[in-house]
Amino acid sequence: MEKIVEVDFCNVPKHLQKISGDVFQKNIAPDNEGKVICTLSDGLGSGVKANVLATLTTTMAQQFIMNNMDVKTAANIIRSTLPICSVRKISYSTFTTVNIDSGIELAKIIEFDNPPYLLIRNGMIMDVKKKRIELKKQKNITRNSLMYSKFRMQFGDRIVLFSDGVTQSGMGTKRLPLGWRLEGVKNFILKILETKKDISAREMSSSVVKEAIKNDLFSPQDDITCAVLYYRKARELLVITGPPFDKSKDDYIVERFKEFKGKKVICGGTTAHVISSKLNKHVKINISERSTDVPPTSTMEGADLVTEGILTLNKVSKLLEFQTKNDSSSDGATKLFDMLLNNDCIHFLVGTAVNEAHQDPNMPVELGLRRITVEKIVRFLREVYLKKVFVEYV
Amino acid sequence: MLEVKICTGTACYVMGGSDLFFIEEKLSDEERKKVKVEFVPCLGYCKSGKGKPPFVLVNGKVYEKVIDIDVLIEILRENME
Repeated sequence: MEKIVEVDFCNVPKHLQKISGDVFQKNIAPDNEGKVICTLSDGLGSGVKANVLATLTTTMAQQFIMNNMDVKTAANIIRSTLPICSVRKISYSTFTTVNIDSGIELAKIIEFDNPPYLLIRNGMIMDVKKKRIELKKQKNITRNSLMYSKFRMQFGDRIVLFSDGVTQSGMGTKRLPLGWRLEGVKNFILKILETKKDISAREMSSSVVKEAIKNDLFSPQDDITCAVLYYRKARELLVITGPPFDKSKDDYIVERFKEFKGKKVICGGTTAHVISSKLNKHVKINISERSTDVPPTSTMEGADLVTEGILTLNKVSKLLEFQTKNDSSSDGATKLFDMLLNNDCIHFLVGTAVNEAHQDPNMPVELGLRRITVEKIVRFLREVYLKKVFVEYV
Repeated sequence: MLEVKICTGTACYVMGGSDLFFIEEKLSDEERKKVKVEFVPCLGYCKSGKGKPPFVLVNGKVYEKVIDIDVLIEILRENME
């Protein structure tokens, strides 16, 4: 069984701000695939200024930790590098950095003034022993220490990080005059876990943020961010797109489809036809979906999703690039985008047969570029979403 | 009863087939009773040189270049007569 650390986050800027002052970054160490490093930083104030502070902080923290720099040295450099705010005369951003080596199941966490992280194990919030590390005293900065913790990860563990926009959400409202507070967040997360034991990092972070927005009466009073790291069994997804270049390989893709143990997606009408006719299955168009930019999905027994090919892939590539989707949309591209993000090991089986009909000069140029689109999707999945992606051309 | 099959393949879709999804809403109540519309996966006519997409089958007869809903309505009314 392959184990992975799923990392995902959800962020919304303060009401009327276009850019968030909370920044979250995640990386995989180039020399060790099992080493995941991520940082959540909250810059002073909100908007562009806060974003610059937080981006500087996360970028430095990520690089320092990735290069195995000592925690104290890293924190001192970060603090002395940040510019001083012209209004409050302080240089300030808070941060939490998590460094997990899943190979040896070890987690190391540095916290500087963010709300404390939560370690969830077997449906309970665990107490973690933390060590206070004193930093070099600096003018105008009152906080001079950080918290450091180190523990052995267990299969199924979750680490939840959030900015103070979450714990302070709802402050001043009739329902939560003192804000949601840490206790409120803890209870909310435990309640989610009661009903959804296997909830993904993506869904959990999004649920926490949505609740915080609700606490703020749908007008966030601060930047709100929640990030979740979930150590669990890898979820596998197979995406078959395009018929094989050599027709004699049709049986091979059908065999791969039949034997695959995880979720299965067929992306392309001709591909669906090849598989359905060999397996003697019926493909039914879901006519209730009426998206204006991609054709409707279909249903076929044995497949978790059947979509049209190249138009859908092009839209998926855009959704991955801009890291956003319209919640109300439920077309094939949005469904495939969700499936890609909800799985960890993604296997692309790409047929390279050329569809002559798409070479007509009257057709949009994108129709002829399946391989390029797939390569683009693969690059985003690997570099931005840290997925394990395998590509096979047939 | 007219049996209408509308191709939802990529080539048909980009050449105007996306418009045809709304065909039933554009027909009168009386016309709707005479027509059974089915949306089907790629019929493959675009590759076999049977003409230009979008393709529609009406009682087994292939119609090419059904580029919008008005063209389809015209075809259906012709067949109803």
